[in-house]
Amino acid sequence: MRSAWKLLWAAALATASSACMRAQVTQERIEESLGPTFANLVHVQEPLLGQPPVAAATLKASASCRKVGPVPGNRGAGAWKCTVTWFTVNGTPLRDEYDLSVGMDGCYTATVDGAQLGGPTLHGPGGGDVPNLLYVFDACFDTT
Amino acid sequence: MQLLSLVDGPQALRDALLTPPLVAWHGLFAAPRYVGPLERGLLTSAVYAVVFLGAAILGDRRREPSP
Repeated sequence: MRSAWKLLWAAALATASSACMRAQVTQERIEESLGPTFANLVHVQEPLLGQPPVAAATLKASASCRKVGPVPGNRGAGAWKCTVTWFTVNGTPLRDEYDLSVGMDGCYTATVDGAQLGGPTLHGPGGGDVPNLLYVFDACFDTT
Repeated sequence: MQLLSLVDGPQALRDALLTPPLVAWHGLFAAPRYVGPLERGLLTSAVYAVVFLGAAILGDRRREPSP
């Protein structure tokens, strides 16, 4: 009887600890959020620049991320570095680096690392400046 | 609660806080949309409401003399 209770306690503890240790901010979740968010922003940005609209799905944007810093394991809030791979309408593959600051609530700020996508503003079709949506953007993902 | 919600803690602890639900609406405006944090937040808020309202009602009843 006593060993049965011990077993029950062990099972309960194991379940509780595994539920506790489950990470909320993971590499997979960030990658699954960043790729589609980037594609959605390209979709919004193109008409602003006087270009024909591009469907987000045709860009086939995907992200590959790694955590920056001394904490081992690719999970947890903090600084992350991501590479977004996407394809132009012509099928040319492009890669862009992003620095991410990820919060515990699953919201992050992504800032482009490099000049390939331009600065904070771009020249619009009317000669005025339009904000570069891909320069820095905020997004959130499900942490549950 | 605010400080605890900012640090990298276990999910069970986050579920017990009232501050993460304050930003749970973000999921409604994301593409694709998600409601996981909102559902958990509603449950947490409901538990807090029941426990503390219950305690308040019980305390109030004890204090007032019954007619």
